[in-house]
Amino acid sequence: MKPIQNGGPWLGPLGRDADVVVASRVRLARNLAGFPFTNRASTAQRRDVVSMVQERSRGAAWGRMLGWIDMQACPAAQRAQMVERHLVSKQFAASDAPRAVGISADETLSVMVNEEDHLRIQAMYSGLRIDECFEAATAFDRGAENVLDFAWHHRWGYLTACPTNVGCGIRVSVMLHLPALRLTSELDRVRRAAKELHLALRGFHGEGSEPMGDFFQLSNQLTLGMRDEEVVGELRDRIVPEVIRYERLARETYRSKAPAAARDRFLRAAALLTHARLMPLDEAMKLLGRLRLGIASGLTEAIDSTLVHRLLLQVQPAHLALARPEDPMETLEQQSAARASLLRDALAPLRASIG
Amino acid sequence: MKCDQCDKPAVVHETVISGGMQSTVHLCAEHAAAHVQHVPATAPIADLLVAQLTGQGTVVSCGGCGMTLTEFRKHGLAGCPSCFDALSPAIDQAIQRAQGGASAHCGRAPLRRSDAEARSAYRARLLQDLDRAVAAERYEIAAEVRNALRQLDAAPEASA
Repeated sequence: MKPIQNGGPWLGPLGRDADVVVASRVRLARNLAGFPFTNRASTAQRRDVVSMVQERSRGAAWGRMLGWIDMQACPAAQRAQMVERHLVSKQFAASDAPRAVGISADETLSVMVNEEDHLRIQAMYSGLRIDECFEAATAFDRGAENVLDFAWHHRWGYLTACPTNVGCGIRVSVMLHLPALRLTSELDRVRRAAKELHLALRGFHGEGSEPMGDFFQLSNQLTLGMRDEEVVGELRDRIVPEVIRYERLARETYRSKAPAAARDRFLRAAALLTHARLMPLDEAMKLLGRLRLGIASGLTEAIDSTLVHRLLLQVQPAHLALARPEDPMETLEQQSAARASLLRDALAPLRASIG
Repeated sequence: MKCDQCDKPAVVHETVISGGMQSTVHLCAEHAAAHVQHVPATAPIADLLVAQLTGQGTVVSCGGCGMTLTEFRKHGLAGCPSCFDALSPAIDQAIQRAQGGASAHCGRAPLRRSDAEARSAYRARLLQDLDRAVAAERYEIAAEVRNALRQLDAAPEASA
């Protein structure tokens, strides 16, 4: 895989409610009958699972759209880049067992083979587009089940290694940008409400990650006793719109109560991003988040949120290293210097506009 | 790093594994104190029930992959599809705990599966569970199993 310069279509500007929702994702967990789950499978069995999935999916249109990457043969830097692009999980990239990932050319569909489950089928789109994600993931699933036997139980439905995924095996996640809720200390209420509704609110990179730049992933926890359409519908129609409404209200309140502070916050972020010589990752994410809020609030027209989304990826360590092979990045300081330089270049129009 | 519950600096960083899901909690001194009081006790009842139903000291393990109940409890992951029958009822309880009490799947089923075969094996297993539960006078378990049998009989046959 080449170092990717754009943000991938799922990080584009398109999609409904893009002022708050960055991207949507649907993931289906499936296992092959007749094999132990990945945690219990031998190296030979894991190899068999990879080749079975690859061979059988190559025979049909739904499978041919994937380009396969053998993770064992893939250099660490590129594996890290795929994690940063949300194409594979951190654990999947770090394992040294036989495993592979199939990725569609536009990166909207990726299928991890031998993650915690034999198949993790995931589809991602920008903005609030859960339906498109669900359709894309389901199309692959429906195609795959014609040629693969999925592990199934009468009582528990689709079987998965972890009890938290049995049933329909679906995980719907929405990546949200919630700066105003964080700023007005309302995020705790969202967190509590999410917990009551059996939802998880996690950081930028999902499970086990820290919130960076006020980006959060909201996802369902329950997969049993509900049809997958119900899980999708619940988030799409009830929960996400409510969080969006709440965030917009907080933004409006902040803008009207403290217009000077809102503008100052944006300008400070812009000034740092366009002048700093060293830029650590967490600071870059935080400041880019503030730019995104400034753009959504109409504080600048010099740049748009597509650029911010692209930068959110490009400032990540593996993206940075792969895009600048000539830069020495042996230390965090060198990495911070490269990041600062990238940001200054990319945000030149913003620098000109703020004078 | 800030506390998850407020803006004070976090002093306690706890990795919690719940139902196999790992998450890290960052708390300030005050919230950490409150948190400790709210940590739910893990249900020892599952152990007791398993001991009752299987005979004390017997190691419950899966014939398919060799996974023992202790290993399942430790890692929170099943080893193969057969574990879901072999490690029952402990695994049933783990699932129901992780799934907000839901007791059975509803919705889509895969197109390809030897439905009749799997069904009759599952039915036989449930009947066995029922006998053992009644013999051990664990009537609440017996009621659960009867529910599962009812659900099985009510579920439509899938087209193979």
